[in-house]
Amino acid sequence: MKKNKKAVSIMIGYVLLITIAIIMSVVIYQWMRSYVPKDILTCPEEVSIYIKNLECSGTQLNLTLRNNGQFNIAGYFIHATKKPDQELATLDLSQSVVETNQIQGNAIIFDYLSLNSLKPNQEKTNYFNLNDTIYSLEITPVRYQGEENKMRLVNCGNSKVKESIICG
Amino acid sequence: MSLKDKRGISPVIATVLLIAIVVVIAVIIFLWFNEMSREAITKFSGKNIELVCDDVDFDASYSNGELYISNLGNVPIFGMKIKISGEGSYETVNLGDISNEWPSAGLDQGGTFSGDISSEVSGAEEIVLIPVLIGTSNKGEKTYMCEERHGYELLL
Repeated sequence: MKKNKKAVSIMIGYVLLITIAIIMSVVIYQWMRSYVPKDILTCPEEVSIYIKNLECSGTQLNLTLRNNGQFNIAGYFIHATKKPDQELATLDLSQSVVETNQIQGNAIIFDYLSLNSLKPNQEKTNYFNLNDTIYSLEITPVRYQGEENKMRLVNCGNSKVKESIICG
Repeated sequence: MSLKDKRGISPVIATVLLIAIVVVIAVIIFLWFNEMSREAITKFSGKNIELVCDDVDFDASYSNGELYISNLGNVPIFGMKIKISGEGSYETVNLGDISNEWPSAGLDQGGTFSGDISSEVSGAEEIVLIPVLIGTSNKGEKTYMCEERHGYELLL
């Protein structure tokens, strides 16, 4: 009696099970791949600049920056406030720089032929022709950093410096 | 009734049916997941745009009817939604629709915005600035509004 018993093959069951498991794992991998966290491009905390000298002469502004951090810097963003009670500087002064060959986008790059040219303890002076009266300056350093075999400009927002001045 | 008279489905047919049903279900599930992954919006070499919202960094202030925004991070902010709350209700508007000063390409690294929004926020108690990013999906470029927790709250 036992010899006549029929049943579905166990092998087919195993094959189906394994096949389904592989298909499901591939599908879920494709879906979850974009959620894998990747390191974002951030500026080192030791990047630092300070305004060594700030002179106003009519509508001309002379700005001397000094790198007092531990990393080289490529340039900076410069913004100003147009009102005395304005908290955040939004007037872009990069287009007002006299050395127009240093403008890259809305950043002022010290030397576009050499990445991160301003080394620690070095200084750089720029001159600006102002079209508006300004009440304060905000300067944010930027530097080039490598990501996936490309050099990208990184905004060092945490190293921003501010200075009050009435000029223009 | 003897056991020999009992009728049932042949084991071969049962096996074939079983395999066919499993294959059909597997295909349906595969197509469903495929559709879901196709809709995912990515930015910066395949990173899901929902994760990119965590990297957005901007500063904002409001004074005398003027809104000021400065992009402090390295993620370009394509657009900005403003959630205006007051007197038990709120509405969400697109900053680009209420101000001509918002750049069409958004705020790049170091980009800034200043514009008068006093007419839109009169009577409001607070506003929340929620960044809108642009990414890539299989259907082309798509915008994505970050969650409110990534927003910047300003009390008026």
